[in-house]
Amino acid sequence: MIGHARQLWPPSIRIQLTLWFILVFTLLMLLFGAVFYINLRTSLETSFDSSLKLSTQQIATGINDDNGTITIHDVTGALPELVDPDSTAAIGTQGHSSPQPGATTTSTASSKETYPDVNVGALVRILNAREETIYVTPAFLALKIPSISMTQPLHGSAWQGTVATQHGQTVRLYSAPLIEKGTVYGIVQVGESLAPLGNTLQSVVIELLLIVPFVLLLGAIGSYWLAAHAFAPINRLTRIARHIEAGDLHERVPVPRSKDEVQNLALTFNEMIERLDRAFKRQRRFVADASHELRTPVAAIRSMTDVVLAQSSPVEHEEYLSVLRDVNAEAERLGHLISNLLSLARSDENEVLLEREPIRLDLLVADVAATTEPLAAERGITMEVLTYEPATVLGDEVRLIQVIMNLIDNALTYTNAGGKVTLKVVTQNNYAILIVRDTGIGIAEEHLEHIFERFYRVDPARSRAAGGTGLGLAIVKWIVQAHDGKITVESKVRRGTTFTVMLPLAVQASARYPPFF
Amino acid sequence: MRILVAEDDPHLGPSLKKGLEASHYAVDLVTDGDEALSLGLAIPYDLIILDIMLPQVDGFEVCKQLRDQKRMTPILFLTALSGVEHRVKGLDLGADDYLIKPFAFRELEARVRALLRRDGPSKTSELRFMDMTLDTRSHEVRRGERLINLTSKEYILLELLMHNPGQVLSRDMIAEHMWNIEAEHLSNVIDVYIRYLRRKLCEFGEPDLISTVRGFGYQLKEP
Repeated sequence: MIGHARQLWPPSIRIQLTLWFILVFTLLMLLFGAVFYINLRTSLETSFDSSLKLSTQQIATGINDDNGTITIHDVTGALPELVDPDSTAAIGTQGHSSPQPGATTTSTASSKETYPDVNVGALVRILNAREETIYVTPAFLALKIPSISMTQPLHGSAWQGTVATQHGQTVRLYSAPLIEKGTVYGIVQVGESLAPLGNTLQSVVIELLLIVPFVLLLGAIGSYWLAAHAFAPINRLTRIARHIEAGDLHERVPVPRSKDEVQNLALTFNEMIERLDRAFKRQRRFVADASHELRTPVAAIRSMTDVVLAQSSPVEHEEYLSVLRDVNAEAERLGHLISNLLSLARSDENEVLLEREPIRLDLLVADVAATTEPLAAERGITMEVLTYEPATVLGDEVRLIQVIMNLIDNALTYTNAGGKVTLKVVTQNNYAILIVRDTGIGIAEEHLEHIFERFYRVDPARSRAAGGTGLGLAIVKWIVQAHDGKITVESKVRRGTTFTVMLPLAVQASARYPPFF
Repeated sequence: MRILVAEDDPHLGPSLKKGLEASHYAVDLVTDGDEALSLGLAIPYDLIILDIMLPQVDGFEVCKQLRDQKRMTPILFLTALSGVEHRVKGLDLGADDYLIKPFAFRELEARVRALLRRDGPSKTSELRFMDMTLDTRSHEVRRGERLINLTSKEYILLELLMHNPGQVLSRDMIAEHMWNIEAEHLSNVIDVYIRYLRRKLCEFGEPDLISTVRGFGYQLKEP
C-alpha cells in the first residue's frame, strides 16, 4: 500500500500549516513581549523618578537657611537621625568636604570598608553652597557621586541620574538646589535603589517566558485542530477519488452545498472525470469500430483463399489470378485503413506538425480535381471546377490535398452516373471558401450531424464497395480545424450534398489591391 | 530518399534532421537504439545514420541485428569513438562508412550522397535520364539546358524516380521513400505532385518521361 505510506518529510499540509502558525505566533509573541517590556520599564521609571523627585522636594521643605546656617527638620520622617558631619565622619572618613571641581567626587570609602546596604538605608545628603556636607546618611557614602550632580544644582537647576555603588548596585539620584530668596544656599541629594524596579521587571520577564510556551502549545494544538477541520472535506474527496478507477468513470465525488473552495474543487474534479469518461468511451468505441473494420478485409481474404484451398480438383490459372487480384484489393484497403487510423491517432496525440506555407487554394483545387478526373469519367460523373480569384491560405500543402481529395472521393462515391460534382473556390470576409457540391443521393437529416464521426457511415455497403474506410471525413474535419478553419455540410436526400470548407486567408493576401495602383 | 538518423544528442540530432531536410531528404530522427532497430526493420530506408553510444541498444548492436535480419540498407556510423578498433569493428559488423565527430556537415552530406548512389545508376553526384539531369549536390534540375525550379517535394519525387529509372514504383513505395514517418501514409496525394512535375518538366512541349501505370504507380520511361 504505497499510496497510504506516511512519509515524515515533507510533512502533510496540516503539519506544515501548524508549523507555520507556530512560527508566526512565536514572532508575534516576541514582538508583543518586547513592546510590553519596553513600555512597562519606561512607565515604571517615569513614576519612580517622579516619586523620587517628590520625596526630595518634601525633604527640602524641612531645610532652611538661617543667615548662613542650614537647619534641618525631618518633616517626612525619612531621615533616620539627624547626624552632623562630624559624627558622620566617625563612620566614614569624610575628611574633605570641598572636592576639586570637575573631578568625580566620590565618597572616599575604599572597597574594604562596609556601609549600610543602599537597598535598606535612606540615601540622603545635604550640602551647603560650598559643597560641604552638612548632613549625610550612612548608606549614601557607598555611592560614587559625579561632580555634575553638585555643579548643576549650584547653578540653579536640579540634576537627575543613575549612579552606582562600589558593588555595582545602581541607584537613582535626584539632586536639587536649595533656594532662598533667589540664591542657592545648598544642595539636597536623595537616592533610591533601583533594585526593586529591576526585580519587578525581572519577574515580569520570567512570567512572560513561562506563559509563552504554554500559549504556543495551546496555539499549536488549536491550529492543528483547525487545519484538520479545514482539510477534512479534502480528505473525504481524496478517499472517494481513490475509489474511482479508469474502468468505472461513472462515479462522481459528492459536491458539498457550501459555495467554497472545496465545492469548487469537487466540481472541477467531476468535470475532469466527465471529460475522461467521454474520452475513454470514445476511445473504446474507436477501438471497437477499428477492429471491426480491420476484421472485415481479413475475413474476406481468408474466405476467398479458403475456398480455393479447399477445392480438391486442380484450380485453373485464371481462377488463381482472380483470387489474387481480390486479395490484393483487400490488402490495399487494409493498408489504406491502417494509414488513416495512424493519421487520426497521431492527430489525437497532437503529434502532427503542420507546415505553414502560402498556398494558392484555387490552383490546388484545380490540380487535385484534374488528377481525379479519370476516376470521375469512369463513373460517368461530370466534374466542374470554378475559381474566380487568387485565394492564398497558410497551410500544409499535403494535408490540404488530402482534404480536397477526400471531399472529391466522397462526392464521387455518393453520386450516381450522370451526376455532377462542382468545386468552387471564392474569397469572403478574410476566408477562402471551398465548396464541394454533388448531385448525389444526399444525406438524411438524422445522419447529418454524425457524418464527421469516425467510422460513421450512412450506407455502409456502398461506402465499403467504393473502398471507403469511414474515416475520410473525420480526417478532413481534423485537418480543417488544425488550419483554424471550419467545415459545414448541407444536404437534401436525392438532391445532393454540399460541403463548405472555410480557411483563413493569408494576411498579406487579404490586401487584394496594392496601395500604389 | 529517406534517411533514418539515430542520435541521442538533443542538439546534434535535430540539427542533422534539419540540415538533411534542407538537402531534400525525408528524415526520421530517433534517440535510442530500440527505436532505431524497430524503425530500421519496418521501413525500407535508403540510408541509416547511427550514433554508436545510443541508450538502450548501442549502435553496433543495431547494425548487427539489421544485418542479421538481411536488411541491406547502407549504414553510416557517426561517433566520437575514434579508435581504430572501433572503426574496424563497425565496418566488420556491416557498416558502410564511418564518420568521426566532430565533422563538417558538408562532409557528412557528401558521404550520404556517395552511399546513396552506391547501388544507383550513376557514380557521380549527377543523375541523368534522357535529356533530364539532376545534381544531387547543388539540387539543380535541368531539362536540356533549361533550369527547372522545383519545390522540395517535387525534387524528392523526381530524385526517387531518377534513382530508379525504368522501374515501376507503386504509390506506397514512393510515399515510403518520399516522406518521413509523420506523413508516410499519404500515398493518395502523390498523383498531385506527379502532375506538378509533369507540368514543369514538359512546359515547352517536351515529351513526358513519367508514365502512369494505371491503378499502381509511376515509372520513368523513354516515351
